[in-house]
This record gives sequence, C-alpha cells and structure tokens, in this order.
Amino acid sequence: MALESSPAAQPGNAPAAVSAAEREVRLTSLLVTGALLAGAVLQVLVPPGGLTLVAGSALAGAVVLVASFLNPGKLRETIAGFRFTSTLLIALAIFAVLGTLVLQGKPPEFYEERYGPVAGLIRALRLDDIFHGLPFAGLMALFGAAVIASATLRWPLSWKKAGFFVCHVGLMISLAGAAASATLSIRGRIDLHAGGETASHVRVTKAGMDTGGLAPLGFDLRLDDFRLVRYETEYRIGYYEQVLERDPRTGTAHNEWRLKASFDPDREKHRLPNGDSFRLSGIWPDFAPRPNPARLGPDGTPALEPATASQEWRRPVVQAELTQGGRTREKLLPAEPPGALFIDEDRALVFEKRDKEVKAFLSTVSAIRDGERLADHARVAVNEPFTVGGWTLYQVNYNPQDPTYSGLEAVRDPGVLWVFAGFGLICAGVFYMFYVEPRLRARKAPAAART
Amino acid sequence: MLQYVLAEHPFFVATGALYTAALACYAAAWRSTQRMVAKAASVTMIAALLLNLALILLRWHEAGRAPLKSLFESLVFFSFCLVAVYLVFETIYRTRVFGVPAMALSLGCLIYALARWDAEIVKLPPALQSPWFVPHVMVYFVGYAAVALAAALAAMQLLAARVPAIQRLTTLKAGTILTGEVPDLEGMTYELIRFGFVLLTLGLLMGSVWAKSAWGDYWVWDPKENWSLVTWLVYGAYLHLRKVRGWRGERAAWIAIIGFAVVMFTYLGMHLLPTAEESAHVYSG
Repeated sequence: MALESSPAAQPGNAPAAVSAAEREVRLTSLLVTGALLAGAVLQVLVPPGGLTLVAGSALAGAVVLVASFLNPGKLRETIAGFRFTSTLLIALAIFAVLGTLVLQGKPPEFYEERYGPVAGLIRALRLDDIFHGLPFAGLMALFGAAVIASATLRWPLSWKKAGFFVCHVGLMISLAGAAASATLSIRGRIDLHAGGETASHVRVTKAGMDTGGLAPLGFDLRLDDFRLVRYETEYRIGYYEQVLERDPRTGTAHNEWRLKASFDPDREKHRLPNGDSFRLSGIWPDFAPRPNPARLGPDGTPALEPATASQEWRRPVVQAELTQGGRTREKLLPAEPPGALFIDEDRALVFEKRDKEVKAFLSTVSAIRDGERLADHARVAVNEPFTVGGWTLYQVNYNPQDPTYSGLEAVRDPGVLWVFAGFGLICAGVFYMFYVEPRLRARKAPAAART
Repeated sequence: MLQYVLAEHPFFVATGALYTAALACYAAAWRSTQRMVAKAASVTMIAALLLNLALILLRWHEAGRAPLKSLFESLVFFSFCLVAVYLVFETIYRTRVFGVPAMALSLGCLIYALARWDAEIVKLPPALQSPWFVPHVMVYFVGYAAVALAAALAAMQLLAARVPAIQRLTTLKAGTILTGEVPDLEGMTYELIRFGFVLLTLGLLMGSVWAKSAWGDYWVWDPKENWSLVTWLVYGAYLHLRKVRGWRGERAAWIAIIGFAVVMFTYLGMHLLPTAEESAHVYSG
C-alpha cells in the first residue's frame, strides 16, 4: 500500500507518475531477467539439488534484501511493490507449468529414449530438475526478498493492516520450513515381512529413487502383523460395448470391450444405453440344478432345472431376458467364469464377479531400543502415519503376491511443522485481510466523518 | 444414452430440465419488465438446486462415500456449487441479470457429466479414505464456482464495451434489477475472485497437509499440484495487480478470464499433459 500513496504515484503528478512507473517496470525486468540469466549461467557449474535451491535462494535473497535496505528509495520501493510481486508470481507460474511439460528427476537415459534429439537441450538447460536449479532459486530469492520487504513496510502493526503482515509472515515461515525440509530431511524405504522381521536402517531415497545409502533408525523396527483388507465381493450385470481404441504411441487401432453401464442383479426391468432393455427372470445365488421328474429329457431321464442350494452368493447364476425390437431372448449366465449374452457384434451383457478391490493395508509394528519398547503393536496405515523415535512411518506399499510383505516409508523432517504453522498463518492472514480489515475500515470511516 | 439416463436416472434428467427452465426464465427476465417472471426464475433455480442436492445425497447413500471421486461425480457437484454460489450472489447484489450465464455454466456441467457418465460407482482407494477428502474437494469446488462466475462477469464486462445489447443488459433497471442500480461488474468480479482466492488457498494447503499424512510428503511437484499452484499464482497476481495503476478495467477482466481458463485446465486437462502418467490426480472416469 505504501507505493500507492507514494508522492510519485499521486494522480496529480501524471508525468512524474509515468516516469516512476516506467522506472519500476525497468527495474523489475532487470531484476527478474538478471536472476534468471545468472541462474542459468551458474547452473553450468552448480548442479540442481535441494541444497542448491536453498543456498542459492538464501544467498541471493539476502543480497537483494540488504541492497534494498541500504538503498531504501528505488530498489526497496520496487521490490516491496505490487507490480514486482505480480511479475514474480507470473514467472513462478511459468516455471510451474514448464515442470509439467517435461518429466522431472528421471535418469539421463530416460530423456534420451523419451525426447530423442531434444534430450541434450533439456539436460543442458536442466529442465529435467527445474525446481531445484539456480534459475528457480533466483526467482525464489526475489520472491523471499519481496515478501520480507513488503511485510516490513506494515510495521508497526495495526489492526487495520495485520492481515497482509500475518499472511506474508506465514509465507516466510512456510518457505523457511520447506528449506529445512529440502536440506535436512531424510526419507527412505523399509521393506519388512510380518512375523517378527526387524529393520534397523532405512534405504535412503531421493525423488522416489534409491540412492544406495542407508540411514540408521536408532531403534529396531519389527513388523508384528500385516493385513490386507478388501472390499466385499460384488456381482454386477455389465453392459459392454466394443470401441475402436488408438494407441497414442504406435498409432495402431484395435477394438476393445468397454464397460458402459452396470446394474445390480435384481428383478427390475432395466433400459440399456443402446435403447434395448433387459431383466433377470431368474437369480440363483448358489446354483445347483435339480432334476424335475415332471419333465423328461430326450434320453428319458428327468430334465435338470435351475435351482439354488442356499441363499448365500457362492456360485451365482442368473437368467437374463433381453428385449430387442419387440423380440425377447433368454440365456443362463454364470458369474464364474463370466457368462455373456451378446446383443449384437459390438454389444454384450455380462454377469460378472468384481475383483475384491483393496480397501486398506495395515501394518502393526513395534519399536525396540536397547531392550526398551518405544512402541508396542502400533498401527500404521495409509493416512494414519505413526511417529516414533523422531521418525514418522507411512504405509506406502503391499504385494498382492506376498501377503506378509509391507512397504513402509520412514521420514525425518524437521521442517514440516514450520511449513504447517506457516500455512495456518497464511489462511488466517488472507481471511483477515479480505473479510475483517474492510469491516474495521468501514467502522472507522463513519466515526471519522462524525468528528 | 439419453433413453437409458431417462429410465434409470430420472433425478438427473429432472435436475437438468429444471436448470433449463431456470435458464429460460432468467432469459425471459431480460426481456420482461414484470417482476413475476424474474421471481419465477429464482424459484425454479432454487428448485433445481434442491434437486441437485438430492441427486448428490442419493449418490452418497448409494456409494457409501462422498460422491466426489470420479469426473462425473465432481461435475454434478460442481454444477451444484455454481448455483449455490450464484444464489448467494443474487441475494447479496439483488440482481438477476447474471442468472443466464450462471445457469448456462451449471447446465453445461450436467451436459458434460452426461458425456462422461460413470459406468458404475467406483470404490475409494486407501489414499482417498481420509478426513481431508471431503473438505479439500468441497472447498476447491466452491472456490472454482466463485471464479467461474467471476469469469462470466468479466466476459460480460468486456462484451458490454463492444456489444450494445450486452451493454443494455448490464444496465437493465426494470424487472430484473431489484435495486434499480447499475451493477459494478468489475467490483463484483473482484469480490468473487477474492472469495474464490480464500478458498483456493485453503484447498491448496489442505491438499498439502493431506498429502503429508498419506504419502509422507507435503509437496512432490505432481502435475496437478503444480497447476493448482499456477491457479493460485494467477489469482494472486490478479489481486496484486489491482493495486497497480492501469491494471483495473479490461486488463483485470482478461486476467480473470485467463485465471478461469487455468482453473478449467487444472480440473479437466491433466490427461493432456506429457507428464500425466506421473500424476496421482488424473481422472480415470
């Protein structure tokens, strides 16, 4: 807000305002372009990485900030200004977009295979690790300096402008926490089998890939038990259509059956997407055909009739009755193997058993240090991490072929609490700035008018 | 397909029909000077909103989980959010001029949902079984609805300067404008974006906290995370640029529209990215 009311920006001083604005644009362009170019040149010498990003941002940010405080006129006004911040926000957005156009953090041979002749350029510009390189660090340095410079302009605090300050302090705390995470955190994998197998180290990973290093846990972690919980079995009547699929890589086309609609196996009449209709005229959950003495087969023995041995869904079979253009067809459809009633060449009704999808996978672990139990039969599940001895354990993997295997991720991150504390301040600051401050100002305005 | 939806999912069709009726009533209110027509538009819109809510609750009951998992489910919810936010907007500003774009957006979501119909209700994978799932998605979609309406208003602001018919619409005083005041389109756009920005901030940060509890990392530069950040940065730039001389008016309106285009890409375009295979957030439905 300081810039809005600066003498140069007053509406009465139009030529002066134009020149001040032009100066600000020029300085903004110079700083942003300079940071990007310097980063691009220096990254020839300094490879991208967490430390590069943090050290580069901190050093460059400190230099800009000190320079702006030593020169409180042009430079500080510019970096604390809304125009400068807006430019940085757009530049950061462009970087974020670039990071989604090129796959990040893959081994060099991957780029050769995927991008062919352009791979060299991608690697040379370090677009393969864009968020840990010096150009990005340059932008983060300017962003940090802008946040600090603009927040300090709101000091000393008053109730009417606390939101901006709190939000920007929150941003700085989050960035500081993220810097601590990037440089000091350790993460790695622990693979265990249930039944008492223990681990005392984590296999350190970076960007999800094994670095080959080991980090001591400081205790023994034992997997007491592992459980894979699945959803209940479901039986459905699926309506499939054959569609022409084109492989985006090879360009070849092939037909594929696609599920277009699905229905509960009930006795109601259902309309199909192609306009025909069907109903189930018979449902036998535990199919066991019975001889009917009243009806004889061609060989003179009683004919078999569909029947169920129980009401439990063990071997379900249904009789589907398809109505197509006024004509009706019937067919017995077992669920296993799935039975199909073809409507035409490209459409079919299929009675099928759905795979029991995984609902949850849960580990029960104990942590022991020098004979002392730090944790006893603690539960680790997806969305339910467990913290012990400074490490937080996350349930990340299982193997359907090996029901005793559990894949855990162990993380030691001293920055995360700072990051989340910053998040809280950002939310509180933004809300206060947009919805409390205007009310405080509105309340003050009539009072001022009365006096 | 339409016959199937009509027979098997009558609530969905009824919701679409009521939104269409509300759209027609709001359009009629542009021409009519009778307050009755305008009131009929609001009543139809509220009825459609309630039916849309019923549709969501019914699906919630059927699925045994919040119906926010697939693209189809999210489109039905987005349609609801658009109208809910518009209803609050209409109540605050006491104008019905913008009912047509709001209903058109909402109806557009339902029509697209028809094209992306779920073959069947899918189950929640373990990562989505989190207390953060519902608040994260809901906060985001209310925010998306706010910025969608803001973009519609910004488009009207730009068109009003070029198309006399739109200019006349935005200065209507009879029947549809209850207060008889000329609406401040830019001010309304700003209010909507401000509201949307608070929610986008909250949604982004909630997503980050959730990612930490699910995977142990609060930020992994996943394409969807990046694009969510891009939307936040673009609207952050909009809010900052409003304080810079020369960046109000048409320029601000263009940024509001660009911001919404980014939101739509974040929502619907992730599968188009060359890095989509790496994302944990691409809609499969």
